[in-house]
Amino acid sequence: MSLPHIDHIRHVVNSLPHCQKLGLEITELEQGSGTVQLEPRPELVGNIARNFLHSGVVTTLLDTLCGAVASSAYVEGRTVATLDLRIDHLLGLDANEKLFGKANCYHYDNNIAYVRAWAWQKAETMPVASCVGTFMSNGTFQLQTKEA
Amino acid sequence: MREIIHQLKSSGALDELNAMIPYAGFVGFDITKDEIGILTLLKPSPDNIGNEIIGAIHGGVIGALLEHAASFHLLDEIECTRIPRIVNLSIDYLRPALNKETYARGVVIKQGKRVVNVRVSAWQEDENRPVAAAHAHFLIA
Repeated sequence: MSLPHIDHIRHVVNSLPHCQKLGLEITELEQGSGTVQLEPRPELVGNIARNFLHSGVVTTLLDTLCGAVASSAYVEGRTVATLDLRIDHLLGLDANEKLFGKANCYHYDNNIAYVRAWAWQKAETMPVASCVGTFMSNGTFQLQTKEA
Repeated sequence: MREIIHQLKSSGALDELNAMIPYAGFVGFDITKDEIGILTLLKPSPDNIGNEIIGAIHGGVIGALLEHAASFHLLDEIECTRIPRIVNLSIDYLRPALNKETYARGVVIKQGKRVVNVRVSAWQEDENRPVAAAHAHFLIA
């Protein structure tokens, strides 16, 4: 059962303009872990010869998820800024298959949250990308904005 | 496809190849050339926002811009027998990227027989004040 501020983080992230445009959805968020999914679309293709999604799509998916997971790692919820992100592109991204991701924050302190994540399409045992990122923690996650 | 790339490359029309890529149109990448070489531009768009508090471009879009710029730099600069395939990249986010024109340029650090190491940086008003930088490996054979 996730805490109310964690649901709020999930809602705010899913409502970001670029996440809306991509159709990116954080499906589960717990303290320090989460999952994401994305429906493939023809506009996201980067390699027309092989019908692969652009590698930037999985970069965005993983950056979004890692940021949300870093925010949720702090018991009070915090806003975070990406310091760095290292991504291994393991397989081409089939433009006919849904994209999934999972992340966990394996360490955090008052300044930095450290997150690992991976993405897959057909099976979780066949990752298409993996990444590790660090995030600077800032203020408390703001309970303002447009929660209807 | 390889033939098309070869043709466009020899005629210096990599912007035409870019125009064929759906994702490039989706986020708004343009390929241009200046006196130094290939320059990749990300046009401002409200759809690319990833931080509404400060109105910054989504970090993933900046990452995609760096990957796109690195690929096109390689297509332009090196002789390769296949379309360069990205192996990995490591992005440093240096400053907030506000919603305005963002440029990116790559430079080859080391070219081996199979792998190339590329540095790429992105900036807005001032090339000396990058908003993000990355290094990446690409397979070229």
